[in-house]
Amino acid sequence: MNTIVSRASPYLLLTPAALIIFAITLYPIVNLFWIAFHGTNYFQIGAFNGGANFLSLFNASGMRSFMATAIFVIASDILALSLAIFLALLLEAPLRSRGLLRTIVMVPWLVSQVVTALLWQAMLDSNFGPLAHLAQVMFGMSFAPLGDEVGAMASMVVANVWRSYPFALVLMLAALQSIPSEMYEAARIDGATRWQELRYISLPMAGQTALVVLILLTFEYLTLVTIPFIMTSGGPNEATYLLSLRVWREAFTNYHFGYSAATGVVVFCLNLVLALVYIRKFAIKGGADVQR
Amino acid sequence: MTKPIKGNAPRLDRRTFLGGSALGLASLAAASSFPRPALAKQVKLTYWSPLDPKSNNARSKAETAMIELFTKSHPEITVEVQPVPWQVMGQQVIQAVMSGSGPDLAQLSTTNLPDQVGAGTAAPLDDVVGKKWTQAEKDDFILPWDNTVYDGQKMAYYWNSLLNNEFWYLKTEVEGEIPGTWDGLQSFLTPLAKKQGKPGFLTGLSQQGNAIEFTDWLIPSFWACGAEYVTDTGEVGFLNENGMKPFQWILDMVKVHKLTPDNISALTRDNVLDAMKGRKALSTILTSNIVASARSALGEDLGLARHPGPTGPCPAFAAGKFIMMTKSCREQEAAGLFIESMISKEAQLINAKTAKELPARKSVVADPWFATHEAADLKFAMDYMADNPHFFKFPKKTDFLQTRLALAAQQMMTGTPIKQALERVAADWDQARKA
Repeated sequence: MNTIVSRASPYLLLTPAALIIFAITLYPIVNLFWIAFHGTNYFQIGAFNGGANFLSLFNASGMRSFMATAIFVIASDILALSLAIFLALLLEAPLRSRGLLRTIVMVPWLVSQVVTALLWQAMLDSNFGPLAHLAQVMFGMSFAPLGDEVGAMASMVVANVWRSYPFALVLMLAALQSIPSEMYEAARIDGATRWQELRYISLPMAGQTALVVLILLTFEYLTLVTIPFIMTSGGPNEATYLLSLRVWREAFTNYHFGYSAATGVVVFCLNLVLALVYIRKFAIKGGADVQR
Repeated sequence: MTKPIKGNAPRLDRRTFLGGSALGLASLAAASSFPRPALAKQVKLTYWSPLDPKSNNARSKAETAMIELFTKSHPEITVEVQPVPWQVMGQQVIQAVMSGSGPDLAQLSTTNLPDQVGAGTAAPLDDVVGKKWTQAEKDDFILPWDNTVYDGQKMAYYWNSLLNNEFWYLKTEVEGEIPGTWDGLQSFLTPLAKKQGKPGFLTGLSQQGNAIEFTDWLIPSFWACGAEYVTDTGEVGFLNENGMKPFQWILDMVKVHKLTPDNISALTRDNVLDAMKGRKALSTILTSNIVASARSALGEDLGLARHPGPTGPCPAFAAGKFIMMTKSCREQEAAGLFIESMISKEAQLINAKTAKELPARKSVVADPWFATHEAADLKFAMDYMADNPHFFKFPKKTDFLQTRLALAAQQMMTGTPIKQALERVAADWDQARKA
């Protein structure tokens, strides 16, 4: 009897945590898939309808959402990570007032997404924005980036990078600081330049962290709603109508919960596939290289 | 107080009797100074409002005063106001009610009611509001009674009236009488815009806020052109020559006459309101409930006119915010009393005077205050609505159609032919209806 209890006790102890995880993580995912394959009338779930809900994603509008999401995520990833690495290297250097500088560059992290979006929208406002005013006063030209497709996407990426680079910076800074100084000293004795130190020591050693940062940022960017919702509302002409915003709008403006769930499933699967690709490509192979 | 006398029966002496009587009378007098409670128990109502009672703006103050009017006459009922942004109110109510934790009452934007009824979140009001009203009392509402009736049941009451298409202009920069036609307006504004160096007419095509900045003037323009927004059978009523005219007009204003800037695809109603308040444009079309806000910035310089149309002013697009009882409501009698109070003449007059909101009831306008200069903006709107009305009932999923129309207009701005863009709207609308 005692043996049974002692064998079962780990599972019994895990049960509350497992139930909570099931309730708040697994159940919503399973439910999302369930709704995605059923007809809906507002919140009421109807009959199984095969993949009909997914068809709405493969029209011209859906394709624009895929394209907008790809541009937004890739551009934001590249810029945020590059900026984080650049600033991490800068802040790692023995600068005067380094502490103050570190505090300042972290400020955007303290600002909520809503405030970030409103702030950038105000900055870029074609009537009252300071940038529009400067453009008018200095060059006599109008400046309305949110009014055209390329400008709106660029503005959204800039706002998103501004908001999210400090997170990447913290992790990259920690990774750079964890590299033993002896490695740099040895390299210098061997006559390595600063660029070679960066190329052959800093970047490879921080590569694992960069990979993790990239995965986390990608996950976040794929599910971001607040910034496109406030800054552009998906426009103009659906140029910034990200899949994440489509999930929201299909559910809460159009009341097409089936379409919304189908889009949610696609975003979930994209996240899953990207995570697997990243891990296979970088974590396993890249990790092994670094360890060698 | 009592002194035993012969036997066991108690007897009141004269002093005790007089004292007791005085105390009793005083108690009665004190009690009669309070309104008689309508309910036998203490009740709490949760009311979701787009107006934050802690805000310092006139509309919030007015609503707080309206609620105080109710709680004074019903001290047994406590009203907890929970502010919810108007842009997300509809969906939040549906989510909350479906999960069983919705408010008792909610005030929603004018387009939301069909979807609340469709989602099954609105509770019928026939048995809780206006049970003893005469036909005359029912006819006292400015907006048609049937606008909030679904399947024969009254599902909501208008909390106010709104005129969605008022033409606003800057008086000091736009001298003269505003022409009533599109062509006249274009000729009139062109030299003024050049002289002032600012857009002659501003609007916004953003999908934010369900694209009301655009559709609030587009829908009455359809009517003026002889088209419909949605037909009686539920199909779009603008996929024809007449329905294309308003789009052609705005395209011409942007591309040909350059009276409207070409960056309007991103502009929201708030952007347009701010632009007008900041004197960044000569004119626009906005709603009656934000005139007071613009007036506070522009003072007497804000001019109001009727919405110009193809051959004369467009019909007044009258709508209103509504108050509904949700299916989460457990205190239906109290909720009914609350709604009756909020739409009463007294409460409506408070709202008109404090927030400069158009009342929901005709009889309120008979108050002498409406003849004062302070009420001039309301009077303008009421006259427009009375002279040239076109009431209609929003269809289900109208938010979808509105945002879809705004997208079509954005596509037209980037070169998509009008007919092609509208055909896509019609196809998407049919799909949405059938879904």
